[in-house]
Amino acid sequence: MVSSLIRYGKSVLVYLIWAALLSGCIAGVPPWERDLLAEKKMQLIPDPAENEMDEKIYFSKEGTSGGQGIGGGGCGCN
Amino acid sequence: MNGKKSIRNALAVAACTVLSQTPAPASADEFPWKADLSTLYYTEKDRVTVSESIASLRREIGSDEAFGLKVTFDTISGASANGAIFGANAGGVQTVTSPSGASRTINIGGSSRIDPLTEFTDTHIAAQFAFEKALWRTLTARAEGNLGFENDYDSYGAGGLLSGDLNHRLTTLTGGLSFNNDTVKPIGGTPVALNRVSDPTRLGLGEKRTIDLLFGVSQVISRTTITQVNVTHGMTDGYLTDPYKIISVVDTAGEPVDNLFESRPASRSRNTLFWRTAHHFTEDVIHFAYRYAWDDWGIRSHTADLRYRYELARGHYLQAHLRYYTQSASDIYRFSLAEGEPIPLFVSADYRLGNLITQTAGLKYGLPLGKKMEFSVRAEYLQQTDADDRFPKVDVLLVQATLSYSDLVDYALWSRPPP
Repeated sequence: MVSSLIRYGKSVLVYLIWAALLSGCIAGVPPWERDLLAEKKMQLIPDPAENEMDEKIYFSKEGTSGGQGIGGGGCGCN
Repeated sequence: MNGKKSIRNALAVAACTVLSQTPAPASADEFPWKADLSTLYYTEKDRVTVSESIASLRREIGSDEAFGLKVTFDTISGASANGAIFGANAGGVQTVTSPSGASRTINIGGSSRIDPLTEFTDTHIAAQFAFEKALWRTLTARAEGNLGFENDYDSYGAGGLLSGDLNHRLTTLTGGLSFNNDTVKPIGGTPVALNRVSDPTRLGLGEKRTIDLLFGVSQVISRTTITQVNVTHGMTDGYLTDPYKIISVVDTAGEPVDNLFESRPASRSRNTLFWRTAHHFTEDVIHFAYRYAWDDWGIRSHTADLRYRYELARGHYLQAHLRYYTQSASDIYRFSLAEGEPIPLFVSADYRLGNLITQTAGLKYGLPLGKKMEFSVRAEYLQQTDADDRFPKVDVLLVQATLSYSDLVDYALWSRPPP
């Protein structure tokens, strides 16, 4: 468990460096131009109820799951 | 003297005025809330039927705090594949195991299906409490607790997320950690791994603990595009065997001669790399996600998920959904065991650990009910196929209806100015 935690920490670090490098390449979008991004349909999860049902269905029907978030409670369906 | 008194009086009056000033009642816009009511009907051909409802509420309780409550209730009935092989000599009779742990025999050989035992049901009720607080202008924390109860399963969990905005709020970094402690409690206890199914010996409850870690970055790319990448790592240890799954031992002709309870390792380490992006075509919106997942049981999976929202008139919309999932089999997966071969320490014939493909297609229709309320209904069809072509296909139909209230609105509803 500890070694896998260390491995995870390392990958996060590498990832952070990449993110920092990439974010510098992106031209700024000023707040007054974020009208489209503020719409409900442009949220990363626009419909939480749909997303939750899907997550549960595929969790109970497939061998791998997750990626979008963490926790959320266990279920005996898998 | 009089002058002093009048100053003192004036000060007292001023102090009282300040103290007695009650804050203006908060308007709905000042402390916004969100609510979702959703119900799902899910049915597998000849197998399980699930009916599930979710009620969720999120209320801001000040300028920098929010409280969330979500309650889920579902009922499940029917039978699910247990991993055993259907023998040609079995006369069309197969033993299946219910979620509540009671075995029954179904006859699918005849034209009509005969169930000698009563239909079973299982119910699941779960609640989630969440609290969010802005710790700093650009730093938000979220803590949540989860409870879930079924006839044969209990789950307790807690977790936390920390999100920080950088780069003029164009970049958000998120870190999260969650714990779960679950109990598997089939009626009568858990079976002994690799024992014959006919052996009535049962052990105590099964306990398992899970830790999940998440690190994510979301990034505004342009006025019309946002993207997010997450990496997650999860570790579970304890009773990870499915007490209802069995594996057949077959003779040289491939006919089952015995059935054993399956056996899975007592720990599992899981990883995912998840990427999603949303792009606004100034009316229509496309959401795309890809996930690569792998674990130390040998499963590798790829998932692609596409949702295209097509705007109709007056805020109505249609959304198409396509999803493709493919996974390679786990190292412990075997379709069956050969008679006389040494029994592996860990083995499962659960098709969900096999070479599996899931394909989904769906359509959703949404319509606004006023400025902040929306109703939507979707229907989806999904099919699971065994890439080894050994287990029968699973066909699923689901229908979901949702009533949603949110302060976040789509400009499309209100004659958006041209971009």
